Formats: sequence, structure tokens, C-alpha cells
Amino acid sequence: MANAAVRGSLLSVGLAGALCALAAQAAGDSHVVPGSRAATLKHCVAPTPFMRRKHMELILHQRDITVHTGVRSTKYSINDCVACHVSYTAEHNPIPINGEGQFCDTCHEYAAVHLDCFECHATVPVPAPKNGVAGDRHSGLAREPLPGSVALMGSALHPEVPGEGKRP
Amino acid sequence: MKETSERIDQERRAFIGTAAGVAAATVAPGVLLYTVAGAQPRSEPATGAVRWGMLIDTAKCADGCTACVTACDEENGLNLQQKPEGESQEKWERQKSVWIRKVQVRDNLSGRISNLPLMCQHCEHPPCVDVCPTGASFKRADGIVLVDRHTCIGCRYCMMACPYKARSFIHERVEHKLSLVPRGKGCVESCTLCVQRRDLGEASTACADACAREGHKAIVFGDLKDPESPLSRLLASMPSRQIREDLALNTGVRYSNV
Amino acid sequence: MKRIVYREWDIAPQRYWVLFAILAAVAGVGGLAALYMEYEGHWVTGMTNQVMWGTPHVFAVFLLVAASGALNVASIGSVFGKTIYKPLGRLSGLLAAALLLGGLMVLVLDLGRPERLIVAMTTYNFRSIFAWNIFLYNGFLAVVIAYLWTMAERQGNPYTKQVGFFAMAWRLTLTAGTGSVFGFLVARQAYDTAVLAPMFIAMSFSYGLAIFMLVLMFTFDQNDRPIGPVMLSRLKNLLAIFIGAVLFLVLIYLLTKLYGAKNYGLVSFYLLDGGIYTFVFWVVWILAGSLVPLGIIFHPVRGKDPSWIAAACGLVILGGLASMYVIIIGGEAFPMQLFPDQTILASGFFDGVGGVPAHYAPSLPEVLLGIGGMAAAMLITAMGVRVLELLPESLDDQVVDTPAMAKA
Repeated sequence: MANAAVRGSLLSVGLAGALCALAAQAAGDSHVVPGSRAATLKHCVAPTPFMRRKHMELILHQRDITVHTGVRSTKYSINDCVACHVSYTAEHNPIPINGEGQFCDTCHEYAAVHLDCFECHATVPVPAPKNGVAGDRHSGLAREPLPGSVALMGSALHPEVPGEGKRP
Repeated sequence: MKETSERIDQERRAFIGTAAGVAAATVAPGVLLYTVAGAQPRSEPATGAVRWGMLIDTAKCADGCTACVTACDEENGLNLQQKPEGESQEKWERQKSVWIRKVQVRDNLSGRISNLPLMCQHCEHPPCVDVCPTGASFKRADGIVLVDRHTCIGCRYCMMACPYKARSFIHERVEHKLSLVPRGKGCVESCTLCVQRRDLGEASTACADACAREGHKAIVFGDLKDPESPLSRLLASMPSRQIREDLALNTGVRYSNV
Repeated sequence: MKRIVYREWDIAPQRYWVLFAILAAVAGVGGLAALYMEYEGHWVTGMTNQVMWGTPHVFAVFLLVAASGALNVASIGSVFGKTIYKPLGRLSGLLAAALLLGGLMVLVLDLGRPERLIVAMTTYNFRSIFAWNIFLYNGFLAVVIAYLWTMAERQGNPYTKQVGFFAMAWRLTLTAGTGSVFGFLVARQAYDTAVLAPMFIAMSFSYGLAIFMLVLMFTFDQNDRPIGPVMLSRLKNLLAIFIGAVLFLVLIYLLTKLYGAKNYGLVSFYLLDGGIYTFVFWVVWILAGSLVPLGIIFHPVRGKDPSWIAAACGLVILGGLASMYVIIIGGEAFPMQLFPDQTILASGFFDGVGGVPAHYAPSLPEVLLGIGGMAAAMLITAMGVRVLELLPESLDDQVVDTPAMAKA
């Protein structure tokens, strides 16, 4: 009887503690790494709590669409995630996004969920090399983020890519 | 299992739709950071209205030239492959990925020598797609035969089944990958007809471009279903064949003068 | 019919635990080898882009084929009504399950991405015989367990014949499926033939029985249980029939291939100028693995000596591994005929320049994994016979149920 009471109270204390920890997590502290483009933006392609819980659904759904139908003009592109969330060294070299203490790691290490994506996907924005015919097709990629949204506006000046709800 | 996830997906899709709509309204301007200068990423799914293919004129293929191989390596990140520490160079040559290779053959009777590049033939009836246990090896609507590396378990059965020995298995950890061509240890890969270029609206493959740049123009890439395309016109005007035509795979890559 | 008494394998605890430790250690080392291969990548093995299925597959396919054949003894007892084999049915079932698990272990651990096994078990392309095999292998396990239940549980005894028939049909399908993994491939000249399915079935009978006999003789010998000459004679003669069946189907395979001019090179590769593959074919598979055991079995004196019979079984097993080596690796190494009647002078991807076969050398991690799988199968068997009442008390002449006994 007393045993059960002790166990019960220990359990509630433990639960309360866990809940507090989670609340503290969700409450204020951001996992976005300083120096990344994401640090300059209000939130991601969807509200932050949504992204925290459901980014896997977006990833799993989108990867099938991209691989099987070739659709790449989506804001759920993993390359966009990397380009936005990657941070840079003092010499403006991008740090691999799955590195220790980097964006993915800050949550995944706590959640103890193994990250498989970057076995294959690039951990920094990587342009394809010049091929001499079409020119450097990917000139925008390895550049560091410019202050504010100048870089963002730059891409909008090009022939518009049909995005969600933005057909020309 | 499939039905359960589809049911859940429906609810989540509705939620995602609303959330995305709200987010898009606030974050919309210039969110697409990854746009490529001048090129249009595909926004509609690939369809069967086109079928990509190639014609390779082996008479124009130069002995000793490997421009197509080099171009493919650069385009697809194969030149970033690194021999694992401790492995012999000889074994590495046999284990590293090759998507396109040059082959030189001599006719046993006449002694005539032909040179040609050989890559995945993008068959209409691909044996590799038939044998893949998970369906990772698949044929896209526009005829390109691909490996879905999210589903590939690395069993290498498709490599056994390919009549052209076109596939490679990635034997080592990949440290350097390209953003547009993800590749990693434990999966199988082969020529994708530069699918990233297809999806970004570019005209041709790296190998075809490189061959043209060298002045040989042995590789012509195009739409097999469009009778007006340069490829179709060329195919209509000269004799060509499939390699191993007795297998009746209706390959997308055709050869002439061999 | 005499009542058969089954008893657990009760050798002295020290001896059992030493055996257990050895088998567990070997299986464990196999597991560590697999971990090493998975972590580093397959570059540490001898497998390449030309020979992509190597030593692990030789062992895995051998174990899977033998698993199906090991159940044969039970089938002969239940389905064909040869009551002399009835006491052997339970061990037969256990061994079939154990060998299957060992083979699957090796196969799955060799995958490029073994952590995606869940994907393999939930996403199917039903045009692939591989996908069907996943169902066949796992279903076989369930069928064997049901079969064992009908044999070992008194309430289940009335159903033995029906379940036994179902199990027999299942395992023939399974083995045909395993053979068809190769037989369905049009790409390679060594495969692309329907005869591989029945050939694998014949091989399953032969290798499964050889392993069964060795396990039976070992367990009985260690536990001082007798195997009478009558039982031994029946088993060894059965083995001889199966060895003969394999030789017959190999002959048909080679003759059929030889009929096509395009296959002269292939048959010559196997029989004459294939280097290591010719050696393994003639010396290890045909000579040591088939003809010598046949000679032992039909020898008037040696054929009655249990030690010589055991040696014959061991040679058949060796021949079985050799046959898998020749079929699987030899079939991959033989240059693919991309341009018939033309010679490949140069290639950037090892296309058999000048007709030279692809190079392959087994590496230590592969061999350890393969042997680890065999040890795992034997470990499961040892545990099963130790804990469950699967081994008959005696197979002495007075005890076994022969037609002569029935008349007496």
C-alpha cells in the first residue's frame, strides 16, 4: 500500500518534470542556428510547432513526388531546407547541417532519432560544376546569405518559378 | 499497412493545406531560395507524352575519347568518389560507380573496330524493374528508368538482372554529394539520362553535350515520341539497332554502325 | 506399429554448454563481420560491380535450399506413409526451420541497407520472384511450426498427413522459387533456363538429407543412442538417389546449353577453361561432392560403416557449397555477351575484355558471415533438441518399423 503510494508520487513527479522540460523546450528556445538564413526569418515554410512535429510527413510525402514524378518546384525541397538552415564559419564556409550542434542535431540528438537523409543528400548547398555549355546553372547556391531579404528578392527577379498559389 | 497511412494522410493533407496556405501568405515572397538561374524546375508531374531516348552513331565515336564519361562524372558527382583508405587501387577500380563507359569491340570475322559509349539503356520492359523486390527500381512515366534510393535495400538483384551490366552498387560511405544528385552507401544506381536536367527544363544530357562540344556529335538525345525531334528524324533516316535486340526490351538508347 | 519414445538430448551439461558456446561464438563473429560490412560499406568485401553476389550468397542460398530439403524426411514419413521414417519427422522439422533462419540471417545481413528490412517486408513488387520468396520463406517457417505441432502434439496427430502435404507443396514451391531467382534472369547466359528450378529442388533433397544425416548421427552418437544398420542403410540409399538426381539435372542443363552455338563459350568455361570455376566444378562438386560419396555409399564394406557414411555426407555438403559457388559466382564472372561474334578489346567497366572472366576473391568478412549463418542454424538445432522431445530414443533395428517387422 505504502509502496504503491510512493511509486505513484514518484511517477507523478517524474511526469511533471518531463512535461516541464518539454514545455520549456517548446516555449521559447529556438533550434535555429545563428548565422543561418533561417535565423533572419520569422518562421519556416510552415509554423514552427507544425514543422517540429510534422516535418517528417512533409519530407516523406514530397520525396515520393519528386522521385517518381520529377516535381521539384516545391517549397518542401530538402535542398531548400539545407540552404536555409545551414550555418557558416567565420570564413563564410558552410558547416554540414547534420554536424554536431548544428540545426538537425539540436533536436535529433535529444529525441535520439537517427538521421538517415544525409547518407545521400548533400549537407551543404552544393552547385554542380560548370559544364561549359549552359554555364554555371547553379550560381545562386553556395553564396552566403545577404542581410535582410536581398538574396530572396534576387531569386524573385528571375523568370518566376511557379510555386504554390503563385502561377504567373 | 498502406490503407492506414493513406487514411491518415488525407486528414493531414487537409491540415497541411490550411497551414501551408496561411504560411504562404506571410512568407511567400522569394521563399524559393533554390531557384536556378534561368531554368524552370518542373512543377507538373512527368507524363508519358514524351519518351526520352538517344541515338549513338558509333562511326562518329572517337577512339580514345572519354568526354562523355568525364562529363557524366562531373554532372552526377561521380568524380567526387574517393577510394576508401586502405583499399587497393585495383579493387577500387572494380568497385567504384560507373554510369557510362566506353567500349571498343572488334568483329571476329571482318576485324572492323567500333567504339561506343554504353550506359543504362532505359528499356521499355526493364528486367531490373521486374526483379526489384521493393519496387525501388522503377520506370518513370517519361521512360527514364531510375532507382528510388529511399526504398532500395541494396540487394543487388537488379545488377544481376541487367542485360547491359549498367548498374553500380555504392560500396563506400559517400562524403561529398551534389545537391541535385543525392547518392549514398548501400544503394544501387545507374545512368538517369540526367534526370535533374530533365526536371530543370534543360535540353540535353551531359554526355550528349560533351560529345557535341568535342565536335563528334555521336550522341543525340531527344524525345522518341515526337516525330519532329532531331532524334526521331535521325532514327527514321538511318538504320539503327538495340544492343541485345533478341531480348526485345525496346530500349530507349539505340546504336548505329555497330 | 511400435510406439516411438522421444527424449530430450541429454548429454552431460558441460559438453552441451561447450558446444553451445562454440556455436554462439562462431555465430557472433559472423554477426560482427556483418556489422563491419554494414558500417564500412561493401568495399571491405571481395564483391564488386561485376561480381555483386559473393560468398554470403553462396552460403545463404545453400542453407535456404538445404532447409527445404531437410523437411523431406518428414514428408516421406507423413505424406508417403513410409513409417520407418516417422521417428525422424520431428528433427526434420526443427532442422528445416533452423537452416532457414540461418540462411535468412546471412542473406539479410549482406544487404546494402539491412536496416531497411522493414521496407522490404512492407513494400512489395509482385513481379519480382524475390518479393514472392519473402512470403515463401516466412510462410515456410509458419508451416514448419504447424507441422511440428501436428507431429509432436497428440491432439495434432490426426492432421499430420494434411499439414504434411501442405508443407511439401510449400517447400517445393519455395525451392522452385529459389532456383527461379536465377532461372528467370535473361541477362546472363549461365541462368535464363527453366531447368534451374527442378535442379534446385533436387539439390535441396540431396543437401538437406546430408545435413540431416550428419546432425542425426552426431546427436545420437554423443548421447549413446543407437542407429541400426537398417535405418542407416535406408538413409544412405536415399542420399544416393538424390545425388544421382542432381547429376542427372546438371547433365541436362549442360547438354541443353551446349545445343546453342552462342553457349559454346559458357559450357567451355564451366568444363574446360574457367580456371578456378572449372576446378571447383569438376574436383569439388562432381568428384568429391558427388562421385566419391556415391562410391562410398555403394561400397560393400564402407557403405555399412557409419564413419564412412558421415564422411560421405560431409563431402556432399562440401559439394553443395561448391555447386553454389559455380552457379552463382561462376555465372556472374562469365563475361556477358553484349556483342555476339565480336570481341571486346577495351572497356571502362570490366566487360570481359578479351573474354576474360570477372575477378573475384572471397574476403574474410564474407566467409565469416557465411559460416556464422551455418553456426546459427546449428545453434538453433542444438537448443531445440536439448529442450524439446524431438529425438527418438532409439533407431535400432528392433525398434524401427520396417515392412519385415510389420509382418513378423
